[in-house]
Amino acid sequence: MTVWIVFALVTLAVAGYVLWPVMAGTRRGSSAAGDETADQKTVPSSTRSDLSDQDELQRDLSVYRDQLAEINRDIERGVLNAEQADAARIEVQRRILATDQRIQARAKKRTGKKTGTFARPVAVALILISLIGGLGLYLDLGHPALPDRPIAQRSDEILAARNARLQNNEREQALRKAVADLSNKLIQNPGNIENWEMLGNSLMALNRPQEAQTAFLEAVKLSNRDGAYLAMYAEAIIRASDGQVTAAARGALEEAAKSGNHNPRIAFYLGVADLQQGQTQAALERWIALANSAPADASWLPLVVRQIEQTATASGIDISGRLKLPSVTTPPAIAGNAGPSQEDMKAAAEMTPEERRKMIEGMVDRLASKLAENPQDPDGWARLMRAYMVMGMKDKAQESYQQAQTALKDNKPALAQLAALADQVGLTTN
Amino acid sequence: MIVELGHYALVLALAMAFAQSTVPFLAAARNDAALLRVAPRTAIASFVLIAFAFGALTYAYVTSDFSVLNVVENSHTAKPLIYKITGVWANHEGSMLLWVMILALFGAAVSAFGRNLPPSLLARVVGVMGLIAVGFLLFILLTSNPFERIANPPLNGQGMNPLLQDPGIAIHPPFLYLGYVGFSVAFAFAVAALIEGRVDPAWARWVRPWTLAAWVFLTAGIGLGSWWSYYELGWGGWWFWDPVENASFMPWLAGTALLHSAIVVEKRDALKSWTIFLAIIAFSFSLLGTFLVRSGALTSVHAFATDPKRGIFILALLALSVGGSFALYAWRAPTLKGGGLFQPISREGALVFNNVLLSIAAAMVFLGTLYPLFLETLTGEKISVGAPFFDSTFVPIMTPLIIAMAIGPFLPWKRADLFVAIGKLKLAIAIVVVTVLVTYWLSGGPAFALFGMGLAVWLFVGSLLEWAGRIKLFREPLGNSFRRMRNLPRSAHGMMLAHAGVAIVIAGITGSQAWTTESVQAMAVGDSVKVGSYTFTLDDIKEVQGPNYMARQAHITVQHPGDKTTILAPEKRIYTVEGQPTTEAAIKSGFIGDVYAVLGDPDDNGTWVTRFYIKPMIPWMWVGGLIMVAGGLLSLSDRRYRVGAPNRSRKKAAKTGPTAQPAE
Repeated sequence: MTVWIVFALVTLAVAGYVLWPVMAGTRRGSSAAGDETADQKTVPSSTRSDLSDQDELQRDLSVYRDQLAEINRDIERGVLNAEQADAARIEVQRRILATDQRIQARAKKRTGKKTGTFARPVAVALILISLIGGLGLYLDLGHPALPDRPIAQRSDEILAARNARLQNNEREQALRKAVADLSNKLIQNPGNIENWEMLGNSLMALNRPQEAQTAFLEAVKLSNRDGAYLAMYAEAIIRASDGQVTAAARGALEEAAKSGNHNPRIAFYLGVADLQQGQTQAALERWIALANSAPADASWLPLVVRQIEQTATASGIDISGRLKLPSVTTPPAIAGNAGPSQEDMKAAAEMTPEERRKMIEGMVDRLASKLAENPQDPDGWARLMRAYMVMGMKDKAQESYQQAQTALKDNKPALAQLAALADQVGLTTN
Repeated sequence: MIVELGHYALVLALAMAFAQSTVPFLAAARNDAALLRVAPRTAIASFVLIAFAFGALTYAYVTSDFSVLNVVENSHTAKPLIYKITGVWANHEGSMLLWVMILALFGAAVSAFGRNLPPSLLARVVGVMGLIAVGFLLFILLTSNPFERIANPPLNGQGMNPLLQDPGIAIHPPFLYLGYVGFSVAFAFAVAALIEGRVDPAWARWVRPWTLAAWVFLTAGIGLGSWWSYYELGWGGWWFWDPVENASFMPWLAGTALLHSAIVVEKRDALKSWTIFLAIIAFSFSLLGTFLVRSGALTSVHAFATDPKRGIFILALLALSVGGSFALYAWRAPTLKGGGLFQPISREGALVFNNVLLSIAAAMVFLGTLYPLFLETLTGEKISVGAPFFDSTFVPIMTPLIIAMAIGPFLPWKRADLFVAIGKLKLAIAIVVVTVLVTYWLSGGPAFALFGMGLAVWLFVGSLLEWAGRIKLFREPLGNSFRRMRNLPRSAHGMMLAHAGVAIVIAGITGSQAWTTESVQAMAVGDSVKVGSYTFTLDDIKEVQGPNYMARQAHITVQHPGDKTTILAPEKRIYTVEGQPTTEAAIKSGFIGDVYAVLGDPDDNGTWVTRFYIKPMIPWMWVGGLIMVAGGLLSLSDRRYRVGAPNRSRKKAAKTGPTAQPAE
């Protein structure tokens, strides 16, 4: 609010300063005639032109008078001799004559050039409209609500960032220690499947999927190719190849599927494989089946649901009514205001790919600007990151993940979820 | 709130510029006294608002407010305070803001000092400057807004190019802009005169000082820039014919021509149309320079981040202002009445000669700078036009100009006798011959050095002789001469200084080009090397910690027979935030020249690559430049009315005897 008061005062001051001569002139004009300014409103036009001609003549003559005086001074100082001074004087006199002739010639040519009183209102209007236009432009460009953020007033943020770094380090250290302990145990007893699994998981959390791959492979062998371990193995391969479902990963997943195991990773990554091969419909079918068969409290369910929504939106496939979920499991953010409405999606289905891409970009932009204004929205951030990944803009996704981390630094659970998501879609986590 | 208030002030300044570009024209056309007083107020309000915006941005920099994108991209908390401040204009957005602030400053200055101008002329001048301001403010707000904000500010910025973290380059842009933008005043006066359809007597009196002020700033700016590249880039070069350097040199050449033709308008009421033309040209070159730097059309040290949108915007602005003013010129110039007549051999004639040569020189630079660009656009072929082209075209143009520079001041106005003038330069001719012979005897050449030294001495002695002749030095008692010197108009002293300064610059260029010796070698600590008659010893190398950099510093002892031993400490710095290395050359300057030492990288054998230069006379270039600036300032302080006393024709003059004396 103070901002607007200050803006208003500044604007008024500017307008007042600039328009002062007009206001003063008008006031004087109405109170008493006789002032030179006021005169011009009342005198006939011809007289007015004469006045300005006289003005001009006087002004020019004063310059020439000064020039003549200067010549005299130059003689006194000995810079000019008498003859040069004469020549210079004649020169100036010629100029005076020329000026006089010019002004007279102009006065003859002019026969009652029309004057109007519209100039002042027009000028005042121009100035006022400019100022109002300026305000409009500022509303478009400016961020009146954003306060200054000098670094000296942000010590708490700097502290928090340092703490977060420290905590991250602690978590990492703990994980590293776990990896070391597990490795020692496994050297002594390489037959312990659970230890291999834990080692794999720790390595995944440390973002070392290549090594996790070997650990999970041991578990696969020891368990006699158990579907769940095959799925973990496949996930490690996919993470190691930047989210691409490679042939090896796909083979492992398909073997797991045949074994009859119901680890959700299997269906999920097979869907991803379908999607990457352009079989969007097949991918959706898999995921919808996975979601519909999921227990209502499955921690991975929201992830799958979001994946379905996003893919459906991006590809324009209508899935309305297909998801049979108990209402509690639907994360509120999906039904929330920033998500695509059914109408949006229907419209998307009828668009050309180009239009569809535009629409999606528009929605993503809207979401991004909403988050810029209200960053305390973990689901929003998650949606934004996914959307960028779907659109193939990994940089943007990474950037929004970074922003989300700053914005939600006090919200530990949300941070953990986002980290898991980032992991899953192949972003770099700290 | 200060940042947003600054942003709002900038937008309001645009609003004011709109008012400034419309109301004054209306006021002048209607001759409305109250509105004529509104006109200068719009310019002053505009300036105050932009200055506030600039202050707000500076505040954001000084307090490291990283909610401002521009601060994030160009600053860092670890930067010393001075570079936080200079960082404001060491980037595209901030430097545009500085540009437009200086434009507004000139507009406000004309408004404040212009009370004795005819109000309609003042209004139109202010209006034209308003039009320029609208263009540039729109450019800033729509494509290069320095007040862009970030909702989630990072905790530190990305730093600033370490090459620019240097006091010399910190003040280079403001000077350069004061020069560039200063020509906008002459431009505005020219366009206003075209609209009015007449060149007022006050017009000429006004154009010269503004042009001179711009010229002084531009000279200082170019000098600082070349000085900076000399000591900072680490190999002793000071001019590269880089397109962006050329972009500052073209307005300088055109401005120098304008300065001299404005003298003719002021004193002799002649060359009005040509002067108006030059004023338009000079400012057009300034705009072209801005375009070249900002559009990304050229790649260069100076080029800012390239953005096609910006390029197109500036190109449109350039086309509009240059095209518009030339169209106006074509339409209105024929109605301007010519003034005093003069013969080809006269002071006026000499100044026209000067103008023609300077214009050709500017055209050559223009061609050399833009030809590669056109060629690449048309055929895709990439060529580079460098020093050989400019050297081979520039020297032939500049030689007659410099020869004439010594003669011109001896010629009286209106009509003159060339042989009389040359006769007065006999002493100069003698000294030139002696200098060339002595130079040959001392150095044995090369030929261009003899030629250059001859030219420099000719101009230097010629300028002094003209000045000595005016005060009748040695022809009258010293007391008389002293009195005459005190009475001489300051502009006469200024001319002598500026011309002598050019002579000193020429000597510096010639000497350093001809007789530089350099030596590159690997040295272990304790080694010595002899370059010319100097002995360099590498005593020690140590690590030094700066405020935002780490440096390796060498201690090098320089011994020269008959001189005191000096210690040079060149550095190699790594700026920690930006991760960029810079070389800090160590220079010992003296009257006869510079000793220049650079520390390079270590190699595998524990030795260090070092480069040493002995550069004779090179400081003369910058001293000469300073003298030119001093001459300009002295002349600027001369606010007398100036009338050139014409030389009478021989028939009349015969009666009173020969008086071919030059007259102010």
